[in-house]
Amino acid sequence: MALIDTGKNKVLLLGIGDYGSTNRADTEIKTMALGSCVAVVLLDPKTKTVGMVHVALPDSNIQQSHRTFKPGYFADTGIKILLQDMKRFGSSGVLSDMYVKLAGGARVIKAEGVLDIGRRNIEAIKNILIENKIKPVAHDLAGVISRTVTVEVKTGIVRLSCPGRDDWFI
Amino acid sequence: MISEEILAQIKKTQKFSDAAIKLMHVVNSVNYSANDIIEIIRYDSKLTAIILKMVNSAEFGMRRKVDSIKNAVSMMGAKKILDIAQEIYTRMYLNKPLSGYESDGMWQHSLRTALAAAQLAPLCVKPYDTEKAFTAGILHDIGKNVLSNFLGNTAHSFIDNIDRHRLHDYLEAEESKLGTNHSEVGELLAREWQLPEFICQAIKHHHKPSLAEEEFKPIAYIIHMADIAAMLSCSDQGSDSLLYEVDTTYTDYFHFSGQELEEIILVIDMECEQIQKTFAEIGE
Ligand SMILES: [Fe+2]
Ligand SMILES: [Fe+2]
Repeated sequence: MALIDTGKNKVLLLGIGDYGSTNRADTEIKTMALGSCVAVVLLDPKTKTVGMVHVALPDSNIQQSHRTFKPGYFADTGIKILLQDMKRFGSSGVLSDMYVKLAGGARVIKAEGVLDIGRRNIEAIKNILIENKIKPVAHDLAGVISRTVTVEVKTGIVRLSCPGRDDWFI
Repeated sequence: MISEEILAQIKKTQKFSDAAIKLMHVVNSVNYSANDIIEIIRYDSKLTAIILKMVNSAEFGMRRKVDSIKNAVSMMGAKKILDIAQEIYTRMYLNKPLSGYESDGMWQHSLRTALAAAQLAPLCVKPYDTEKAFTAGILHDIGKNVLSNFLGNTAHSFIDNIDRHRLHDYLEAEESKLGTNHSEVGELLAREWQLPEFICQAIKHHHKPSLAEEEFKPIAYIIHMADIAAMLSCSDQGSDSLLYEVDTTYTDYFHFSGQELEEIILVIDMECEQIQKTFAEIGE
């Protein structure tokens, strides 16, 4: 994770498995080239806090045979740690208090079943939302698009970009 | 037919250093000795300097200072030093922007493909040497270095045509504009550099491994799957990322489960982060 000052605004840049949050209106939170990963964006309407986590895999239990990696890397631990982080700005830490936007979860052409990690990521995240009785307010998921995701803290608008395509928004 | 301009560009494309090419031949010989590695690296002063900086960085946590390649090899093993040398080349030669693919560089994609290939090699129905798989992974997309300048501002229309199913994938898009693709041109480049045959074949068939000759099918399938794993994980990507088709016959060569593939992605991400941190620390 890195905070970059462009002169015009500040950009909190998240790498794979990173999470970050802020309530500063002059800041954007950004993560690059999402492949099958999913960016989970949480917007807290009460405190105007915005958070993002860059989820790469659906389930942290896979780590059993490896050393522990970043909690933000997995859907289950990633959403939890992001909610925790947003408490620094007075957020409740309760998922159902948030608006949720999702982007990513792509695949390569004709990839199905075993190869479709993007779909498993999306399902894992949607299941967590269902358990908490909420739905995303906006999403841009699946397909064969490598998305770069930027959320503007001031408005909560998420800009999506991809080399060779015009930007779009959710 | 490949145009004269592209053939001329193959001759002009910046070659990896002599030491790098020699190391690739060493990998091919499989039972190389520590001395082979030491003898090649010590005559490349730039490479030697970066390796020593790396092994002495905090990331490696060595207790004593490592002051020569011989020392490094005896402390960490020839295989480890060979891996480090290859990581350095990947960063040195594949970190340039490729405007035709709207990419800032493909060293991370190349490294991720190499790391994935090393993990996939022993899982193949016909198990393959991990070191050879790693090396082929680094070079698989080298043809893009040749084609980038000929593609101009094609990315938008290529993607539009793939979205509308007028073109199959990015390989066909390259062919529609240039009459060739980055696999074909990459193979020619590898031959120009006189790289070992397994690398030439892996490059040529990395998007369509079922077309490889029987002998080279395992490495072709390994690099095909490794490339897909690398595209799924997030890194420096261009306009073509994800816009390639899976050769569904891969199931003849691999029987991994979804969870096993996820573990491969996890390991790539962990190793890649470590390597990036090391480069950042030594300022290379
Ligand atoms: Fe390729
Ligand atoms: Fe590739």
